[in-house]
Amino acid sequence: MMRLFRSQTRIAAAVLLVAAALVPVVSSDVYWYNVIATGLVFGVLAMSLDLQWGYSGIINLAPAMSFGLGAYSWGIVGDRIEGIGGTYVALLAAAAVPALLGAVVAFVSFKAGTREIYFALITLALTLVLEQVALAATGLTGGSNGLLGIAWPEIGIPGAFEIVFDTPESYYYLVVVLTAIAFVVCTALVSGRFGSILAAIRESEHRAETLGYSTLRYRVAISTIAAALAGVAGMAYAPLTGIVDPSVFGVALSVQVFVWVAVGGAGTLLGPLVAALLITAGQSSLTGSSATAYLLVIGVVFILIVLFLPGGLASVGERLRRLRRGRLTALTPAPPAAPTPQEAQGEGQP
Amino acid sequence: MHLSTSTDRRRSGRLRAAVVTGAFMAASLLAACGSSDDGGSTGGGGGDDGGGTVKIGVLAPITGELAPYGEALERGMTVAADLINEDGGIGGKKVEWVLEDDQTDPKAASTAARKLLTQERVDYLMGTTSSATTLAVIPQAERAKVPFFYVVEGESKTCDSSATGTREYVFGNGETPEQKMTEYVPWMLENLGKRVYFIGSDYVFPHFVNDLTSKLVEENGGTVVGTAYAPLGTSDFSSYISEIERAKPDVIFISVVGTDGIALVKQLNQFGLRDKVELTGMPTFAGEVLPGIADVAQDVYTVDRYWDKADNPVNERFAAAYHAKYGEDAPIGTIAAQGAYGTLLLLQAAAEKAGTTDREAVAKALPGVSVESPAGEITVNPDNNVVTGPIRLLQVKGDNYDEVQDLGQVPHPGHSGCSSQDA
Amino acid sequence: MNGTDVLNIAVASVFTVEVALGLMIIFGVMRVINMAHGELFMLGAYTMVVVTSAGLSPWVGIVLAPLVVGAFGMAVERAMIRPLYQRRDLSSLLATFGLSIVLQQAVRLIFGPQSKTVPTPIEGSVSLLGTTYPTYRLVAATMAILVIVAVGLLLYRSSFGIRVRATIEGAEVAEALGTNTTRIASLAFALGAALAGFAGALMAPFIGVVSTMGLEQTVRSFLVVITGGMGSIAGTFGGGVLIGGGESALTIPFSGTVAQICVLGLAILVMLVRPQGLFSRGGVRTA
Repeated sequence: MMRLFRSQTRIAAAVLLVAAALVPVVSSDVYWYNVIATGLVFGVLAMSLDLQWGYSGIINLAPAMSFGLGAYSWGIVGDRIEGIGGTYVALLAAAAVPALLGAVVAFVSFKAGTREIYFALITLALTLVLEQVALAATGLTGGSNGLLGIAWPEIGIPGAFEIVFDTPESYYYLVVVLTAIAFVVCTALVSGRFGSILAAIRESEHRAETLGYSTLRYRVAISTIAAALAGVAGMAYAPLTGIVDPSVFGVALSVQVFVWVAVGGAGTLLGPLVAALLITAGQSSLTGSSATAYLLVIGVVFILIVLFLPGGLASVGERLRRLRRGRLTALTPAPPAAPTPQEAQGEGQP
Repeated sequence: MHLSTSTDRRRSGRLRAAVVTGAFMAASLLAACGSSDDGGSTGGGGGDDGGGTVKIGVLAPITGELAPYGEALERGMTVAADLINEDGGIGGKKVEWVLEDDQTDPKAASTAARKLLTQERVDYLMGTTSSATTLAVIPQAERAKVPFFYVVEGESKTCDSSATGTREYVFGNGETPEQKMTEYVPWMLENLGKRVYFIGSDYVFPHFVNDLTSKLVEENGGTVVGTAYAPLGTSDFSSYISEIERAKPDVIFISVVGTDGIALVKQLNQFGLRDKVELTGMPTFAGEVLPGIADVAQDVYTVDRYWDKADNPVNERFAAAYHAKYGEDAPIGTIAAQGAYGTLLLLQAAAEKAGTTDREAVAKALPGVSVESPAGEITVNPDNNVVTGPIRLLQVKGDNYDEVQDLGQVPHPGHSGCSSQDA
Repeated sequence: MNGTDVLNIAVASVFTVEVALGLMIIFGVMRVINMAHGELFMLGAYTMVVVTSAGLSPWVGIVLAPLVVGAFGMAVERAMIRPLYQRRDLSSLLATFGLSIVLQQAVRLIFGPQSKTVPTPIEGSVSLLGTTYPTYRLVAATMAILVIVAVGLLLYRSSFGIRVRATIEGAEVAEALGTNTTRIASLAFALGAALAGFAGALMAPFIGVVSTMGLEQTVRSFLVVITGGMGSIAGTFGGGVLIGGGESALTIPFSGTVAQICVLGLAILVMLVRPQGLFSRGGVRTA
């Protein structure tokens, strides 16, 4: 079955995170802590989309929606409740608010029968609405100016210990730890029985239903979890730029998340994480090149990947191997006679 | 149908993992080696006198919705820096400046500011052209103890988080709505009409302007007959127009910005409202955007600090240099003339007063400094670090303005209306 | 509600129907979820920008836009949609999602992020229903109505239309009865695109033309199709009036944002209570 996470991948992930942890040892350029931390946070966001798209075959067109709600939760709560309490409450809000919204949207969409379009549509429409609401609710969100003076989180137990993450280095380590936790959680989720059932639903909803699984329930569950994860990522993002403004709900960010997942390989978790990290880091060193050209290029890359390389860049290796073995036919993008669900989740050509 | 076997997956998983990890290690190594500054902390503390130039970091939107203002600032700086250097520079040192694109996005502005402070190590910061981006830069400037002149008109931003004190390193060289409206509203009520309808773009600045102006209207004996806000990007104002018709105002005060504003005025013409009501407002009719709106906004009254036919020797020199470089038809707005050149003149005067180009000394010398700028005399108000300067009543005629009245030097009152935020 | 309001609602309804009709034809025939539909509208509007900045009359743009955008639609169908047709719908949704971003950014790069204005083909206003209303808006809406009627006639009276509707009902059956469904698909996409582009061109003189103008149209069209019924052309008319006219009507008491939320809420309600749409017969149509 879906035994994706052999020890090789786990080792690779561990190596990755250790390397990330070592960055402050190698360099003291604060600017890069910020860039890499941003990349890791986006990586977590990418993993959340992967849970929905890669593993469950659900298209959430607005991962930025949950991300933005998480960022605003931190901005709004962190401003009003200080210290450790503030961090815990904000964490709860950053996870719970998007989770609730995600659950409701998933429920509404999938109750109406298998209409991915409903889910995709509502998420898109909602993100537009949320952007407008963020602009209008000035008292809460700072309107177009956004929320500034984003606080640094603190954790601990009052009276026992207290850690404030208010330096670039300490915050960086927090992000690395958060990414590690997120990866472990996602891995556990998709490797076990839960993940198997999700895969079954993705491959044939009908079959899963006849086997007695409520597809609605599982879809709502994964959407809720993915939303919570994205929300927490959003909360981690806010202190990195120090501002939360309505553009965080924009379609531009959502498209980038799709690109990260598509490039990294939908359904691999590690792929989207690394792709998000590399692309974010790479983009930041392209000084002076306009954001517009960048979005144009990744849009084209995305289309090409959807058309020709559903497995993402990581599947290039597999294709080359097949080529060497003479199985050229497997490389053509012509779809097989019976649509295989593999295409939809990006596992590459069978 | 063939499901990939677990063997396939294992192999591709391993390859995948290896590729990916290797790439990451390479990237992080490159990043670590490639970072230009070693031990680059945010800013360099108390500025030293070293170096033969004064380096200024300019944040402006080169891309994004406010790009025309960014262009104005860039052009203004080009001309202004040349003129200042011709006159000996700041404190005898040549002015050197670096531009970073803030993309009209607060997050990008914050990053760009960080870059200017940590990697370029600028002595002063200038810019941006929107409230949101300005507010994003302020904490960076404060942390680095680098004086920051913001150059966009808007609500005052120089107060500290208690809203009663003044920030040490933030100076406001843009007109505040209080400065503009306090003198204008009485004239408006007298000459245009007493029933006023407000329509603005739905974000912080127009709300602020409308709230303030509404209060002034009521205090001066007028009536507010309605207020409406259109989300940014609204291009079809037909529903708003029907509401305006219902309210039957004498004057429509417009704070809808950019091309939305152009669409609104155009549609007000088309729906036949121009025959019945007077139009006014700000910053819809500002100098930077006048060419786009002049066609449909003839005879509209507005208020501004600067216009390019202001009659004084400083402006003659500045406008001549600007037109020489960018063409006779190039519009010169307040951002180029006052934001860019005005700021440099103030820095020059402060350095002279302090006798040194040391950042800290200049920052302390700035409050109270007075210079002649293209708009006229301007002074850094020691009460609040907001520049006091002339306010003019202008009327759109042809593709430029007529100056109708000089409303005089208007200081900003204390810290009223200040956007305070934590550093 | 005054005369201006009534006319505003009417105009909004008409254009909502026209754009949604284009989407409906594409979805009905090809089961393709065209996330770039709004950008086709945008391309029609920018055609007007190009034509008028070249000094030509806006009417030239109005005639040219559906041809240009229709041709573009055909090219997109062949290059991007047809290869994905055999796969599940998700791929075409994603591909067109990518296309929408590419088109937005390309236009932004070429024309800049500020919105552009297009001169009005007919200046002046008429006195109608006790109010002054711009002449051109009425003329444009009338033209849109004519086009909607023409397309309706095409779909219900011509042999092409019969084939299109047969394909909507069931592609396999249509194929078995001798319809070249590939060709029909191609033409349907072109027609849908042309409808969107035409609406964009007609509306350009009275709304700002900007690269992001399409998103709103895409969302609104989909809400219409969901509310009216995913396989129902007649439903598109009803849904268009409900969503487009409704949103415009709601801006009278409420703000634009609240109107948008209400309309979205209505669509969600329909999704829950009557998933096949308000105006269609029968049960839920599967993809």
